[in-house]
Amino acid sequence: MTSIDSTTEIRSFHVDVPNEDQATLRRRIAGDALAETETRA
Amino acid sequence: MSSTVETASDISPFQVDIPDEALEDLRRRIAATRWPSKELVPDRSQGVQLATLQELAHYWATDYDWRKAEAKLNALPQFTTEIDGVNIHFIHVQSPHAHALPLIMTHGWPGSVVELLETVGPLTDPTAHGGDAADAFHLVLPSLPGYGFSGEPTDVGWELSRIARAWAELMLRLGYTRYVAQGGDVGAGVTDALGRQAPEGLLGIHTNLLVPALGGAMPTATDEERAAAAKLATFQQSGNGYFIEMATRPQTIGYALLDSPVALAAWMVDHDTDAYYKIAGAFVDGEPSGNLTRDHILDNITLYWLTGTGASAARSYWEAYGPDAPAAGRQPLPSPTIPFGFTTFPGEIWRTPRSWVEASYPNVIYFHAVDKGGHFAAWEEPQLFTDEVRAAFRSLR
Repeated sequence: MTSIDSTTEIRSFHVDVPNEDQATLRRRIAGDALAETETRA
Repeated sequence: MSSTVETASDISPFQVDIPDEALEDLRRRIAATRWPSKELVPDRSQGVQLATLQELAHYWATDYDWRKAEAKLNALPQFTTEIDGVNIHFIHVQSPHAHALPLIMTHGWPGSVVELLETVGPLTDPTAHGGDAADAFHLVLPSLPGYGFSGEPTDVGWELSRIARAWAELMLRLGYTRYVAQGGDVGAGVTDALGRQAPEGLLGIHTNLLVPALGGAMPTATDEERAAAAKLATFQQSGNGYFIEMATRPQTIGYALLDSPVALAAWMVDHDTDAYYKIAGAFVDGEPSGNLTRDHILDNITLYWLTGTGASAARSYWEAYGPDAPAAGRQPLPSPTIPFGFTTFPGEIWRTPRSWVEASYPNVIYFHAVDKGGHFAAWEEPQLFTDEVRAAFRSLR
């Protein structure tokens, strides 16, 4: 194995986001201090 | 109150009183910041550097004390009055010297009355600050509509001329029949507009940003003029991202500014190159430039945060400079013929040559190039700035 071989490796990949990240996202959306309504309709 | 007219012209005392919960929420949000990775360059060319923002956030969440800023504001006479449908907050300090000249002085973006506070003492009470009673001013410092403790417009049309008309009404309401005006940044735009309107009683104006240079060609015959033009071109090519965003899509950036204190701080710190590196120096190296200290910088950012005015302040650019605003394409009034004074500070976005001032204003009574200070001149060098204001208006008393 050389360093050149290593960098050309192709690995399989699966998405696996922890539930806590999704919970944090929802918490942050709920806590958003929204900008006021824009001044133009 | 017997009539709506009387109600609308009432002037009410005002004190800042931020609840503890708002300060706790601010600290919680700073602690919860999700940081980007470090920029890939050794300078500010990709924007506000990570180390600068992290030092700022750390100081903000730990050592910084808003209550000191609040006490400083509340030590001054503050008022609100409704003008043209918007509640205007202003500081009004009357000089102990009876023959003082009334002066209305306007802050810019990303500033507020905070940037002008250190000039209050020297301008209103010169004898207590090594000056002459003959140079005293009665000082009026309004918060622009949508900024700080002023209300925010609920309809469109609040461009620079409308603000200027409101300022003339404010001075009239305060009983001033002879007065002068001063401004930098957006405040220079308001002051320029006020000069063009030349309301009765306005004796002259002084600015420290040459507004007409932003909108038209200036002479480029000399090395000094070409150097100024090159600096201005650099700003318009790579330094005005904030300007374009706020002039075109203020609502979009507003969501981040209202929701994340660190986003707000980054947006406000990313102004001109000179000011940015001075602010970075204050936080990263502990070496402030003049009065541009960590606490003073955070007083201003915290004011925007606590009043939730990031979006409404951004909209003022849409109104003044945006292509979709009602004022877009409207020709400005002719150059003011009233007396005009100008000071160029070396760290400003461009060093303004005297020839540019004379090409912009027909009645220049004062011009001076000073040796220190930058875009936030009053904030960074309050004593020097005060000396300039005194000198500029001395012949109009």
